[in-house]
Amino acid sequence: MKILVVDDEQKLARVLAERLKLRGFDVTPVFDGASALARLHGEHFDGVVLDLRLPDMDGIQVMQQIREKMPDVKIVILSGHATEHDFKTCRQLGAAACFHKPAKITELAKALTDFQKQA
Amino acid sequence: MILINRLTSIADHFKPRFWNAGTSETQGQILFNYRKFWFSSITLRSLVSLVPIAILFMFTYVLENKAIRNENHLHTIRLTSNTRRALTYFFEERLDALKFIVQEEKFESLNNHESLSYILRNLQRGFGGIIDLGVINASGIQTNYAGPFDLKNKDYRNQKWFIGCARNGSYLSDVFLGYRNMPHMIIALKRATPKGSFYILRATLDIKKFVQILSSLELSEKSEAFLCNREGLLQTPSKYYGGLLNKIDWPVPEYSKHTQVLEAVDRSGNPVLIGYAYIENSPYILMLVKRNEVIMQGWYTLRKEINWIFGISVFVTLIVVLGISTFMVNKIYDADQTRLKAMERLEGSSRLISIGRLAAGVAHEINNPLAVIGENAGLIDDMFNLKKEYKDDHQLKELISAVLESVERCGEITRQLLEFARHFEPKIQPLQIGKIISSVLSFLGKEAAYRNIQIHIDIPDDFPVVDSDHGSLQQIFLNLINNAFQAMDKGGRLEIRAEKHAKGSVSISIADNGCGISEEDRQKIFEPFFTTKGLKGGTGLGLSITYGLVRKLRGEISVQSRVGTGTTFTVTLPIKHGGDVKDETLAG
Repeated sequence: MKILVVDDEQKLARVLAERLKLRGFDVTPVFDGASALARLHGEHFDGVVLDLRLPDMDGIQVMQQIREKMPDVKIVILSGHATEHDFKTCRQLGAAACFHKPAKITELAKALTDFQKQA
Repeated sequence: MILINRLTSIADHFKPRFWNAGTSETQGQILFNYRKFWFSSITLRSLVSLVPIAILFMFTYVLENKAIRNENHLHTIRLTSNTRRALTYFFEERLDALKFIVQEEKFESLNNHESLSYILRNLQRGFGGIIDLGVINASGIQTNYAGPFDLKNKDYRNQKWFIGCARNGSYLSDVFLGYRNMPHMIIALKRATPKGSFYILRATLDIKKFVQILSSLELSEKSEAFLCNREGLLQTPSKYYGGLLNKIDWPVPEYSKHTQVLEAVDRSGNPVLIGYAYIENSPYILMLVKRNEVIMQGWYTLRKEINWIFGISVFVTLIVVLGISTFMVNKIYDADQTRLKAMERLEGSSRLISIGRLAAGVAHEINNPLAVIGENAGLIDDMFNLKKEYKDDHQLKELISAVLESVERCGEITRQLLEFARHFEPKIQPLQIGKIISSVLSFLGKEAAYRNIQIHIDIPDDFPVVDSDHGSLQQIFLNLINNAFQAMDKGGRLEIRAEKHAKGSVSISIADNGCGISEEDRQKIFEPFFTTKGLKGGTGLGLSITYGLVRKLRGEISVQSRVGTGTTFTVTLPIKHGGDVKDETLAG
């Protein structure tokens, strides 16, 4: 199960990737919106863990582009400052789950596995 | 004491609502001086309404005065003319009688005492007013005399009347004393004798007769009529202006054929109106004297009425002006207060919005490192669970779960930041502007970095500590810097500069090199709900609230801008505040 972790906080992205790997996912960390989109174009991913605030573009924009081009990729939002309203918008745009930072790894993994099952 | 209290409470009852605006007794914020506005409104309205009233009354006054004066003059002239006619007739009648006698009677009969006495009796019976008759020959010797005095053979050669009559043929004398030492007057008529000489028939007139004519005039109180001669000596006794042969109080008026009036002042200083007429063929001037105070009585009454009406008009006008002004200023005051309250409410909600933004910024800043800690600790925990050598080390596992628990708690705290930031109290305290700006920039630093905006701060080392409210200043700078950010594209430059002024104030300017503001927009920029951000965002309250906050801190805010070049907002604040700001605790 291939997962792409997108977060501008590199340490966080790396550790998150590490922890998800321990739970059996094949994880790649990237640190901005553009490289995330580039990676998604290049290869197939089953899911994306996405921060809403990225240095080059808005997380929601990234999500919209993913949804347009790769509708089968499931998206989990992980944000440090999003409001419930933002999360609602994200869900409307097709996010499978939304989490505030810091999130529990078990819940995150469960969300990824759940949608994996659905897929 | 009770009375004073009662009066005060009555005064309070009538006191307009705006009266104490801006003083410690009210919560209301003062936008401008209502009392001054009220006073100037009253002054202007009073002027506008009272000046025409005053002009109208002045005209009425002048015209009425003139009308009454004219009427008095006309009345006096009429009366004087009539009296003159009566007097002229009196003299002419007697002169004609003498003429008749001189024509009819022979010189011998006139020179006969019995016959002269007979004529005198007839005259007294027919005309009255004649005391005696005398015949004087050309040498001035009275040759015959009929009357109560013994004046036969008196020499009149040097008497004025004799000379006058000898020259002119007839003579009407002044009142004089003569040989009899009694005031009397004379009518004399000259008659030529066939021998070429002449004699004069003289009649003495009783002045009582024309005093009677004069006193028969129906004159008002303190008015009188009398005769005087051309030297100004009284020819009939006067009640107010002296006895017979006294000099009148005013100069003898110039000769005029017609009846005239003149205004003069008598010896007691009373202004008088004099009607006078020269009686033809006589030395007499008829004078009719009326006291102004009496004849103007009607005017005084009218004037009193006019004054009353004027006074009442002014009073009513002033009451109306007072009422209208108070009503109007009260309305303005109420409208201002309503607006201020709305502004305060909006300010409160906007403050909440900014606090929300601030809290969100803090949460973001803390949540990221917190997430890193959490994930790292989580990884350690994962490793403990996966690797056999740590699996049974309960102490380490407990330590790591303590870290994870704390991270979770911190996460909870950041999420609740919004709740915590609900209330805060403003308080004037010495503040370092630099620190506040730095703290505001720390919230916005990330955005600046993302948008590649350069921030340049220039605060001199000796910049004074300023008495102000931390929260308000923070919000002022946050709003202004936020605005600057919104005006700039990527790669903009923000300059924050602080300066100290001599007048005990400081100014902080925030300049951007963004899109700038048009002149038209610049004038409205501090108005509530004015926004250039369209529907995209912005309530249009940010700058109006900033304005309100600066004013509350007793400062000023100004803006300079050029389209395409950038905008500079300058906030000027007093160094010493000297007072407490009003309560700004947020509702709810």
